[in-house]
Amino acid sequence: MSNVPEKLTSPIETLTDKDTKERRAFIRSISRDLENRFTDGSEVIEEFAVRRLYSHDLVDIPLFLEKTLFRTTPLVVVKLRSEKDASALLHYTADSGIPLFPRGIASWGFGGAIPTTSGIVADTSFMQRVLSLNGDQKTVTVEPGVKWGELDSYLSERGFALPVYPSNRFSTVGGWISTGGFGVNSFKYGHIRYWTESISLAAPGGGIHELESGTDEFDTVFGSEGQLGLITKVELKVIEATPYSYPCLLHGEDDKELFALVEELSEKECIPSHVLFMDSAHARLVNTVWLQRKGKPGDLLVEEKPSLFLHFDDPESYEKFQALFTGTPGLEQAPLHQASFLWGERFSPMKVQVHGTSLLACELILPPENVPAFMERAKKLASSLKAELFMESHFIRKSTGMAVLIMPMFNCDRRRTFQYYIYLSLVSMLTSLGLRMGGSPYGIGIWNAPMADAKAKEVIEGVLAYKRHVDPKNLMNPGKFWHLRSRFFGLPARVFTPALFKVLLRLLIFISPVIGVFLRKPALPGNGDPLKLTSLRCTGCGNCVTVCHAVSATGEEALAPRSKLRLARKLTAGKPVSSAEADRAFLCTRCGSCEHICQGNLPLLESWDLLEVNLAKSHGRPTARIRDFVAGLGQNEDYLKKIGSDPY
Amino acid sequence: MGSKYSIKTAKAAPLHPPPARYAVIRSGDCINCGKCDAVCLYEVHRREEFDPRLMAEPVSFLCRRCYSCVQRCTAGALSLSRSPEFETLGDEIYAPEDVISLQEQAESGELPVSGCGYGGLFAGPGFDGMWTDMSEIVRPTRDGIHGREYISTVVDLGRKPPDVADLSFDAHGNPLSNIHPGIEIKLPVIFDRLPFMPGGAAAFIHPAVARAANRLSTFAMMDDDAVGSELDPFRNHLIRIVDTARTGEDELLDRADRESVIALPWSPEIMDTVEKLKSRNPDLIVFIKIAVAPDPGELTFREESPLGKRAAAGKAARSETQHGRLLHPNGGTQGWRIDNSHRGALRNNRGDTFPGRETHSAEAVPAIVRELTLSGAGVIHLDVNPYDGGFHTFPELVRRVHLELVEARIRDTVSIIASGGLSRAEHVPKTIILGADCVAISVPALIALGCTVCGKCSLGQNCPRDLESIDPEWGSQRIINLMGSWHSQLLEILGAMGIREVSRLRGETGRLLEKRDLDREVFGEIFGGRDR
Repeated sequence: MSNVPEKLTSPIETLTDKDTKERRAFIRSISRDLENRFTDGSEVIEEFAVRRLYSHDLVDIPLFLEKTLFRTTPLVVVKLRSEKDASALLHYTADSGIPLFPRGIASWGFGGAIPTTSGIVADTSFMQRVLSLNGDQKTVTVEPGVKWGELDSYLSERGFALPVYPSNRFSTVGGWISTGGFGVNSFKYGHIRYWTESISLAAPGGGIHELESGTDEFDTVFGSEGQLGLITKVELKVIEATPYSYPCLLHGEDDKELFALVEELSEKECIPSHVLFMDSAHARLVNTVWLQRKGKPGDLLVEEKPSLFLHFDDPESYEKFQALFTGTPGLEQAPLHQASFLWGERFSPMKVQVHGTSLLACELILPPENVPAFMERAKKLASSLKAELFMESHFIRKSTGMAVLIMPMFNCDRRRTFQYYIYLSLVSMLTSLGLRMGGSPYGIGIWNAPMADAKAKEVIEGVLAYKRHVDPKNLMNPGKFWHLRSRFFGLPARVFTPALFKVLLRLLIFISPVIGVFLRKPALPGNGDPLKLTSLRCTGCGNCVTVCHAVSATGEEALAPRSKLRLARKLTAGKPVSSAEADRAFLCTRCGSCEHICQGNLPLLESWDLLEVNLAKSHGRPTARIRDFVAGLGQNEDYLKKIGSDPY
Repeated sequence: MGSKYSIKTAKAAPLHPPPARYAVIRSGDCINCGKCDAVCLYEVHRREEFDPRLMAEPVSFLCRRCYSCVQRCTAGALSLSRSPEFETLGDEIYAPEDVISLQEQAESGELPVSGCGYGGLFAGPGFDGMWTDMSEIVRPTRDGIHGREYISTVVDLGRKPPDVADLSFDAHGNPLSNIHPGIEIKLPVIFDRLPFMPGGAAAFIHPAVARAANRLSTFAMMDDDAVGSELDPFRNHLIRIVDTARTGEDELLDRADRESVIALPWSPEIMDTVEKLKSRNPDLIVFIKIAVAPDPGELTFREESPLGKRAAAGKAARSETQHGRLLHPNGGTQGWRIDNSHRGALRNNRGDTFPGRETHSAEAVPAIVRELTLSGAGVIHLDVNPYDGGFHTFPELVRRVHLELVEARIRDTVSIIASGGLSRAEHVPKTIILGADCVAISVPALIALGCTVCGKCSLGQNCPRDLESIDPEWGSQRIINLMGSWHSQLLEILGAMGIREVSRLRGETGRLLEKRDLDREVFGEIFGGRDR
């Protein structure tokens, strides 16, 4: 590998991640090498502005942290198209010693996909083929970039269904396996691990490891956050599609009563597929969201009481449930339409961002008995910092028994830097609180790295042992939960070492009422530049990336609404925008899919007009490019596939 | 034979987007993929000029209802329905479809194409119960209707000698018989006086019509007092109708010396005038315009009779009875009144813009025509009010007049012009087959200019199609285009019938298949000879 320098150090590293001449030459050489190795059309992206897009996920890393801790801008981004190319990439990784950061669509907020050091980002979201469906064995084999929603549609057309799936229909199969695994229907069906037959993992060096369910190595892949290798193929178990769907909403008088009810359900063997607990604040939020879109002021969709949402997918359980609990004192069953509404809303957890400009959340797994107490204390802590907590609590089934996956969320105002920092640490404070109450972090990523020791020790050791075997040089997604890598000889990262961090957090929690004095309540999105406001309110969930027609047509994430809102943020903040970035923002078909799918109900089409007016002022309107873009649509295979049309 | 008559058509875009037959609706579901643009043959769908990423509003009037876009829309965002605007077009004579078709012909000058075949009934009242026999399709030949085979559409108007045998010559071979000069029109269509017009529009529309008449080598009828100096260049193509109430006999006689044609509205006293004019100038062509209205089948009374008063009170809104005078108490359904209103009547709900002055016997029309002919009139214009059923009884009137003259053996001494709501090219040969020499049209000329027969001008409102301010040059091109299309259609029909001169079509009822006769022939025995 003549072009790869021996050492990956000073000459190419810059403080701001900006490209120096040497760095550019280095990037060019990587890009040339990779292009020579790829045979299936995988692309290498060198453009700085585009690479910047791959330096975040849902949550913006505050600039201060980014500058001190990490080197988030990748050297190049590779859009993988096949397993063969993935293998070639990993071969190159081992040859060159350049770290690799796998990525799905980055719809998780804990930094698992964020590069921590100069390296290559492997975007797997274009490996999106369903490879085969075995009806007899009830398995489906897919590439890692297949979106869960698309897979669901594919299966339901053929009479099958996914037993368990994430709340984000646009997240990727590979991504969810690497990070989460608990989702809709996890009460009945548990973790995705039980529904995975085999996984193909490309490890550094280019070898493909076929991992079968039941082996230790197989188990380590789940939640490993891409540190073992690149998932290239997944064989999932599916179930036969059922026509039965019984959503049900129960109101109770207090939280504990409802928690007890869930226990009882399990004992009596009437198992709902999905169980969601809502406290009265959550119910109020549901009403607010609904009012904002549809209702008249004063209307209530659901009663603002502690409630339990259940979904049954078999008639026996449902009948049993009705027989057992109808007429139980203190329990009140809401009308069916309310329950159906909530079941439909399962894919839009982020709709709650109706006030404030952005949303922060943490995810914890708690024993059910501790949940009410945790909720109480978490609310108290949050309110001392003037944040209002909304908690979504899913009951899940773990191998060890029933647990609750709880997601406390709160709005914050990104425009207020001080508040934003404090609220970012509130995420850690809440996590730490949960851990002290017997919980464990759902995922680690960057932000929960200080809590990594709370994960079961044997799990971590298992992963580590396997990693030593497949990735001895620690090239796969390095710098994540075992040892954060940071700049300045790793000093800033010391803060994130569990021992120190916990002390700091405790201190913060202790002084939170004092800090609270200096905070203002997150404001409702007020007046002001509508484009700026919209760009700030984007949660970055990524739903728009997958539905975007321009992204399909060009394969460029930079055209996606999410990316354009980042550009708008840059523009409205007065930062320089390159002409390449500006021109690209005009490549849009105005199909309206983004606005349709946006969980935040953001006025996106209007924003594009505003953005384009602003860009046209500074960079001019790329008329010829727009015309060529539009003219090419009728022959663009990917676009035609998206809209379901023959060439025209 | 001089050079071949041809009409120079040239595309003349409408002032306003023409009314649409169908409404193509693009819903908010549109994803701007542009497939509709790619599949539409008629350019209904296009991308916006200012931003090609967006689809423009569909141009509905171009739609031919092929449903290609609706079926192939990738987002299910397109729908097609009958345009609500369409239903409001025209009136009971000028059907919505006719209005649109006339405007399209006026724009392009080409044959109208409906795009999805004829969707209507195959028979109806009036002209719709008549079909022309085209079983002799031997010509036009391989080079089409405008090809080598020349089909003449020339018509001579004026008195002709009754028979060649009656001509006599002196020793030098000069004719002794008086051969009266005639006028030749190249197209069997002349433009009638326009029945309604937005206020002030005459200044633009009259020049447009006159110019068109000039270029088409035909005539336009206008009221004498409406002809201003701006029409001087086209004077030879105008027939100016003299207002007998305002013009004394002496003045008329003076004009007889100077002019070759004098046009007069019919009145009971007109025979004397005709005779006087002819004796003053035997070469003069006397043109008589007889306004005929359908007899609604009710008695029409004199105002002074007690019955008449009651009838008048009950139907105060109806113009024809307000001034009604009983002349013919016979109310046959096939009857006509001679409505000597100066300007012909319009539909009543248009307001009484042109009230009738006198009404006259209906059954008497053929007889009156005969008497007029005998008294020396050279051209007689049967100006039938198409409303209240006039359009459907009009063919029968033409036939009866023709037969009356044939029986009196004077058919060739007079030219008959017929008008009565003709709105399609096919009405021209049908009217000629029934016995007219040529036809007159009025409203189609206005429609060619963009009129949709909305009636607003009759109510004193502004013209929504801005006819008040058209460019006469553009206007004349629109009318020429329309006539170009009608000319082509006439040639098609003549060619298909193997007839090479339109003058030979007159009274050629052998070429006419009438539903009435066919019904009798086919079903007569089954239904016991009942006259259907």
